Amino acid sequence: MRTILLVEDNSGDVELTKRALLKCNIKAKLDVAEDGAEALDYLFCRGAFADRQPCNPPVLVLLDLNLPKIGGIDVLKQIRANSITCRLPVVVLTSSKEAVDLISAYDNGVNSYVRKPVDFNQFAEAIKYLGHYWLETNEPPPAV
Amino acid sequence: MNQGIFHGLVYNAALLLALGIIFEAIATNTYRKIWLSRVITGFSFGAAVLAIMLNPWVLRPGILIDTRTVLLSVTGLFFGVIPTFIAAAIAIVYRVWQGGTGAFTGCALILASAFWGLLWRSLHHKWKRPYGFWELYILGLATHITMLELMLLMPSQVALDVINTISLPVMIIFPLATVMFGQVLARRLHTRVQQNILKTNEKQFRDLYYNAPIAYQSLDVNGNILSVNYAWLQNLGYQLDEVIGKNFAEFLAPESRDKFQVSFPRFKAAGYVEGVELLLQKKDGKQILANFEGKIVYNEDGSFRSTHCVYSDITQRKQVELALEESNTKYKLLTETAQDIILVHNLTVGVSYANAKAMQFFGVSEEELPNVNLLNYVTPGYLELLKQHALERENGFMGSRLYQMELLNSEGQIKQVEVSSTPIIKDGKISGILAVVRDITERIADHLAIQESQLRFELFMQNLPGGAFIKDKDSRLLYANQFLKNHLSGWTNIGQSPLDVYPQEFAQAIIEEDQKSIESNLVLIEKDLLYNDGSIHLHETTKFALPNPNGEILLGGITMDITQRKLAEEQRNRYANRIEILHELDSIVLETLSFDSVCSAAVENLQMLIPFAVLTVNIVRDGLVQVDALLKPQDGFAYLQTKDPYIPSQAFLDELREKRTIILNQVALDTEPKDMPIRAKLIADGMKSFMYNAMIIQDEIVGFLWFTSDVEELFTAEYQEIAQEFSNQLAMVLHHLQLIEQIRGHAAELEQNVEERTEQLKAANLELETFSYTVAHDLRSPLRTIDGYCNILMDDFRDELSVEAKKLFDTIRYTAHRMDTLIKELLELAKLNRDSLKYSAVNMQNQVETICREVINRRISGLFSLQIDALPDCFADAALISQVWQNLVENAVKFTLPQTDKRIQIGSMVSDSEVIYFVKDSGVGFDMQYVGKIFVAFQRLHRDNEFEGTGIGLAIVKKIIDRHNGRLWAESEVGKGTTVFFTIPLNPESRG
Repeated sequence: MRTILLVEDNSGDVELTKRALLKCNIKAKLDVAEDGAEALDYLFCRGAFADRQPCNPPVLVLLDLNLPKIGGIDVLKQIRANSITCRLPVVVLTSSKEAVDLISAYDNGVNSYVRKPVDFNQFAEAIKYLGHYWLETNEPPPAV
Repeated sequence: MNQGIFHGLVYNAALLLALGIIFEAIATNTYRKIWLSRVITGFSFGAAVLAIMLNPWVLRPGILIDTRTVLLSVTGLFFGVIPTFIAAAIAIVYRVWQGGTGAFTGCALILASAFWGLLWRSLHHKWKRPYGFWELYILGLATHITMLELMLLMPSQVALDVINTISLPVMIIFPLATVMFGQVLARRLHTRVQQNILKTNEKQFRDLYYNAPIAYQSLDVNGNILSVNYAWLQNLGYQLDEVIGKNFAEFLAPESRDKFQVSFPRFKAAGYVEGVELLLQKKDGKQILANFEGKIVYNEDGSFRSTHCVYSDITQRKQVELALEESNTKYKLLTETAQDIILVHNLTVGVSYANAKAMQFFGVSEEELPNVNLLNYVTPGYLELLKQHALERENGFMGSRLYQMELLNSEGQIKQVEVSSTPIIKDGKISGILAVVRDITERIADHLAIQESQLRFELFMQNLPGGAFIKDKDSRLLYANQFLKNHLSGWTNIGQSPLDVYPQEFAQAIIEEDQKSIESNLVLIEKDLLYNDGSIHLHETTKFALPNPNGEILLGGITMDITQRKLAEEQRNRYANRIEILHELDSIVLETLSFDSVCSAAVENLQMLIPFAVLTVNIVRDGLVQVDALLKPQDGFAYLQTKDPYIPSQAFLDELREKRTIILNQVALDTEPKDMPIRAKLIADGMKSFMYNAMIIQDEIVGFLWFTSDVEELFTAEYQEIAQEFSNQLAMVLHHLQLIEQIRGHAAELEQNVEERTEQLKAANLELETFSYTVAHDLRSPLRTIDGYCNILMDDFRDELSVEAKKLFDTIRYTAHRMDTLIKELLELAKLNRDSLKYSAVNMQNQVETICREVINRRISGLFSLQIDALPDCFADAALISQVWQNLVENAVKFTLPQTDKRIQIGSMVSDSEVIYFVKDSGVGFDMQYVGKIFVAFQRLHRDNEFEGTGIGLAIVKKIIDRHNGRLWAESEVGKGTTVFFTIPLNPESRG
């Protein structure tokens, strides 16, 4: 089963994301990392995730920017810097519409940038589009 | 018998007549010698006599009657002595040979007849009348009466019988025969005379024709030559046989042949020719131009017979004509283009000819010339002169004249003229006067100008405040002006050379100098000259080459006394130097920031102006004097600061402040003021004179300069002045330095304040940004959670919730949304303070139309009556202005929606400095007393449940317009509608 990695520290948002995915019938396993460090450990199968087997990268990373420990942009940089994860589709999912965030996200090679609407219905809609697009329409990069 | 005698006599007379007629027919008198012709005539008549005597009427043997008497008398009458005698002699000889009774009588008869004929001839010549009938008849009667009488010479018997027998027939027939025969001969004679006259005439004409000096030719109808005369042949060099029968065209030059082909038929048609010029070609090839005249001669039936033409050689005449014409043209050209006035006038000075120049001068045309009288153009002063000249001409003065006078030209200007007048003499009389008039006004003016210029030159030279001279190329003086004569009379004798005046060596130097001036065109020499009065003056002499109009090079010279100038120059130089140094001091003052460096840098320059030995700079601080500098040239103006300030004598300071400068020219130890610390040392070092210069600022003495010198009385008024200026400068420096120090203190303080503030501001900004960021992220997540969870609850527990609970959840969700909007707008508002504007030209019309489409059509299309006027572009931040329109249009829609009359108008007005845009609606409006609140954030005039809104929209608008330096205001009436105005400045300078 395909895996989506959600990097999000707000448990409310995690729950809402899960619900939204469930609601639109996307068949994918959702793994959650609650901060940047954990996300990187998960991706590179180290630390707490050292025994994650097989150490496949997820099909999609949904990345919040405002994260404890290691910020979202830094996580993105490290994903792009690593030869295994450098082509991994990463979508920034955040409340911020600040230019500075948009610029640094795109500069570091994000594949998409989605702002989380406050309205749950709109939020669910956005997640649905994302899921369909990245898991069904989009052709993933070949495995390394 | 009578019958017989008649017959015989008539027969004989007829024979005679026949012979006469034959004679007339055959006689041609062409013998050159007259006597020969007469002899021949005589023998002819002799033969005739013989012929008639051979056929006599014989009365009886020995007596023969015939018409020999008639023949011989008539012969005598017509042919004179010789022929008559010959004929008579022949007749006598024959009669004698016949013999018979009447032989003697017959011979006498012959002689008598000849005698009567000759007598009649002489008588006839006296009468000078033509031979008439009666004349011949009387001759006949006379002859034959004599004949009858002679019969008596015969024996009487015979005689009477003969007379009786022949008298009647003889007297009837013979006179008549005489008349007839005579008339035959008279006619013949007449014919001969006529023929002779004719012949003579013909010969004369022939000779004339042949030898005439005019060439003649006769052509046939085809133009072939019938005859030409000698002149013709000689002219063209041909022989007659080379010409006759040839076509005339052959004797023409090729270029004339065509003309002949045209003119000959014309000639034939007209019957005459006149003035036709043809070019004839001579045998030797030369050509002559001939002028032809002639006529056609016609036959009696009127047909063409021949032409008769003469021509004359007009080659030379033509050449002369051409030459004349050419000379005429030349003459005309000459007179017409002459710059002089050329005219011919008569003795009453009326003008008969004038050239173009003359007509121009008099202002008349050729037609008006006859009306011109010179007297009208002469100035009154010369009228008498001209009249007198005319009178003299009238009295026969034929010489030429040259005189000056004044004429008035067509414009009434007086012209000085020189007149050369020459009479035109024809047949020994003056027929007119040729006058050549030359305008010499300018020449006279030039002459006067030259005279004046010479006068001016002389005046100028004499009054020149210096010497002026001219020398020839050998340095001999040609001219010297009054100045030289007054002051340097030693070398002002014309013609003298320096060698005549000065010692050899000195003179040679001057000559060399002169040569050099001529070669190099200009030389400036400065030297002392000894004046007549013994004084020495410094002179500056300019010598220069002076080519005179003859091409000769002379030397000109001007020498000026520059003693005073030199002094003034030196002074000026010194002054300029002083200014320069002082200016340098100024620069130093401005560039250097410490007093010490000002002093050491400036004093070096100052020493060049004042040759002092030691200078000290004394500064008064808090009532003490500190010697701030002790400067000596030999120490390289090293700056020495003495450590010990001293209290100066107040009296000295007061005096110095009063006088500014105190000079002590001979200092001794006891000279006041005595309390300067290093004074004793300076005096011991040999300083003899002092000068103090006060430095005063705002009437306060802030210090003083102290110059010392080892020369007594060094410090003159000039030095004092310089020193004073310097001390003023230094005082200023001191003052400036003090001010600068103060300013620096203030500036440093200010800078520190600014730095601190900037730091604070930066920190505050950073804080604000962090805050905004946090707000953006962290404040909204909970809202989403609240909204999301309410939603989930309502979805998952729908059945378990009461209507009331659902309503409450709705409220929670609404509130969360509202808070989200609030946060969003607050962030925008905050951002407006931070970001700088991105100016560009904004197409307002497009922007407004787009926004209206989005806002109105999206929600409530068709309800509104929307009017968008023409909106001018503006220069602003496009995104922010778009936000303004968005907010204003949304507001207008929001507050108009409840009204039945839904109108929105968007328009603009342009003033000098700004564009006023407005959005006018027919909405609910508001009470104008609350107008101050509507642009303040979170301030609302309507309750939440009336109109949605956060109260930030207009605050954002207000902020954006403020940032554009525009104005924003609103007009409203409750229930009627609101108009919101905003302005954008036109002038980019007034941008924020």
